[in-house]
Amino acid sequence: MHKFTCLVKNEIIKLTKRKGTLVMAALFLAAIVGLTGLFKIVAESSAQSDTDWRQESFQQGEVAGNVDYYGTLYHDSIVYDENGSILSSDLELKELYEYWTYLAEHEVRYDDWLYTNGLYAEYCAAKFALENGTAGALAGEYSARTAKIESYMEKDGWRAYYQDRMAEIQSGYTGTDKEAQLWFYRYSLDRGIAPESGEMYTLLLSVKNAKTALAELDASAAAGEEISEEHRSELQDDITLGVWRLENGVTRDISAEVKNSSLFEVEEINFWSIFAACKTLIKLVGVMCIVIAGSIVASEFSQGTYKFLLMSPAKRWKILVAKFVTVLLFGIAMMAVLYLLSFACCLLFFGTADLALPLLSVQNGVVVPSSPLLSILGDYLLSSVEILAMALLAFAISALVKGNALAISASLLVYFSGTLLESILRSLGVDFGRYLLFANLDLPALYAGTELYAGQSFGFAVAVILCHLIVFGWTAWDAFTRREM
Amino acid sequence: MSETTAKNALFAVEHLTKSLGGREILHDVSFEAYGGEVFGLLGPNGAGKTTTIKIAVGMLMLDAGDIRIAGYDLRHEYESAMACLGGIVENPEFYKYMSGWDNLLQYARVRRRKINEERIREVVHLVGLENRIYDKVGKYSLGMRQRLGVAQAILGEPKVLILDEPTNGLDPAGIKELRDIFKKLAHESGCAVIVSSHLMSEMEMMCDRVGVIVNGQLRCVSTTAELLSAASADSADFILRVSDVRSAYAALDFLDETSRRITEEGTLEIIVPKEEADALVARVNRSVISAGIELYTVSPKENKKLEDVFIQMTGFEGGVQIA
Repeated sequence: MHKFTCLVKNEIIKLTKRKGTLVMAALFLAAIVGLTGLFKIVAESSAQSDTDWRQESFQQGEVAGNVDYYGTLYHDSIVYDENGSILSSDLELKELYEYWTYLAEHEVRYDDWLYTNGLYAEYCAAKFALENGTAGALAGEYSARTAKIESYMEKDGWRAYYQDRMAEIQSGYTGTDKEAQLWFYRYSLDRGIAPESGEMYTLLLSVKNAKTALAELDASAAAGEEISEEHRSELQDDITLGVWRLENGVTRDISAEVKNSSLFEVEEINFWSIFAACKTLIKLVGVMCIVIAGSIVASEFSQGTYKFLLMSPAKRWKILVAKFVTVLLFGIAMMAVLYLLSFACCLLFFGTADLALPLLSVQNGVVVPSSPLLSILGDYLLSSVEILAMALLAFAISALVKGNALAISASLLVYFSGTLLESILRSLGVDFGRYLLFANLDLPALYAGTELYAGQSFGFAVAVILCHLIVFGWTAWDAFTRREM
Repeated sequence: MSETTAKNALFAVEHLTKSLGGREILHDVSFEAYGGEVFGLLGPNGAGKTTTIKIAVGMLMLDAGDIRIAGYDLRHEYESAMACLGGIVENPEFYKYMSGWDNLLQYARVRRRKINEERIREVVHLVGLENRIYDKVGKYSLGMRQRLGVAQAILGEPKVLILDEPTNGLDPAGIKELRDIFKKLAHESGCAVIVSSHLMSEMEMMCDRVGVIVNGQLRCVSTTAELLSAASADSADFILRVSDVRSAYAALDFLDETSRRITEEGTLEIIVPKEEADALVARVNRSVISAGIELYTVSPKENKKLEDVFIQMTGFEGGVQIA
């Protein structure tokens, strides 16, 4: 065992003394720091340029335009008599003009709850009707309504509005979303979640929508329609998760960000989205491992140093295994560097604020919070299987051919053309593609349930990979131990 | 067996047979090298010297036969056998991007017995590389690489040292230094040193015994002295200076091709059995003259060397080609 350790040590020294390896590793480190830094720069510049559109007051938005537009239309519609007094005008246009002018004057915002609930429109309409000669019982109704809406406009007026809505719904509303509406108003009042209160309110709305969707689904089921059980349980999980988050005050859901493993699909730049998206760089580790594995045996032949190497009092297979162990150690080291350095860079660039956020998932109707750090680490482990397979392939090619460059380029060629071939087969609908190694390498996605081919399971993928590993390993073994040098 | 152990056969080749690409390279080769001697492996190019050495260091697999190194069977006790072996095959190759010292460390690390820094220094001093040992091997000359190769080969104090053309690329002073190192290792430390070379004069100065391989078969094994005296005992060499070497060569067709050749100096050399020497020389004389060729001198060749024995034994085919 001691001697085997020495063999591995020798290989590591040979690897690390080579300039190529060092340059490659340095470029890799630079790529990690550079990419995370790039996202930091992009995040900062976009933070300056766009503020949340909902926070904008109408003044700056389309309102001013509407005021102008309806104002012009209205003034054009006025017909004057010869004394210069108004003969007639388009009242509909006038009403619109006054409505928009009201919004503009009061600097109403897009996310103003009175606006989103249509209360301003109602208010202005009632006022307009009163001003333009509505009389009798209708006038009384209108003035009562305007007084009511004015009371809603006061501070915390939303409570009164919510209570009135609840009373209304209870007294005769029969829509399928009755329960969802009632729950929404009751929950808001109980927890004091005011409209416009940001993320909590948005979360509450999404739970209400999920509840509504579920109620509609159940209603159609009761009417004898066929419904998707999967969709139903998804909705139920959404509701469970939403309520849990409301109860625990966890407004941020980072599960999509943590699951994302592509730098090209980052939607919002923050600690978790960038740390998780750095998983893209695992591909780089794979390419580096292919290069190392491709040269580690072949370079001994191209340099002629196999003569030196075989003078060791160690059987050939031990030398071969020591070499592969070295490739594995290199891969593990690079994965660790990627994980730790991207973590450190994200901490540095995006701060520690999000660090404590849990990763939430619903299992059997129960919310299970877990560590996003571990989830990302799990994806790293699943992805290393791909690297292992590609490294072993390159290693086998390396043991088969004598030229260093040939071994590396052949390995890379197989890697890229294999991936291409598999996707071509898939697009042509050739089912045989599922037995190709390259169709089964994306283990994190397969584990999460994505299928490239119908019925392709995680276990199937693992079995295909294992078969290939055995073939590659056996090829390398046979080529090296029986080779006449 | 008892005989060999008494003589301490550290390196034993038994009935070695090897084919490569359908061609038989070695056929039933057997010889032994004992502790305390320098054993020379002689043969023309392609005779199978390097193949024998490559099999001995595990680069080629043998088809039949056995090799024992310090008593260990190479096939079944590979690691123990290799632990007793040091050597160079063809040109020594090293990791060019590492220093000579680091290369030696690579070699030292995987040896069975611990090799400390002191031992490495000692060996480096022995081959005279102290000044350049921390330079990258990529900057070494062929001679320096050869020295480093020797340092590596003797680093683990092997019982058996196999050297394929060890003096390749060295200057005359370097050749003498190494020769002395090998002799000392054999005669004082009791190693078995096996040397192959195409430089016959080298072998003559270095080797205690030689084995001659021709066409994959071992022709003979004997001490250098025996070989020389045996060769001079039953045959005689004569040098003929003539006006037309080629015609004279053709005229002597009663001698078979192994006993006449055109030398590099443009003279004709003949080898004849000692007891018939006078009669044959007279006949040669007559034949040359009757063919209309001027014969200037016929002189006996003095100082028979291993080279001549070798050429005689291998039938001139390794010497100057005949047009």
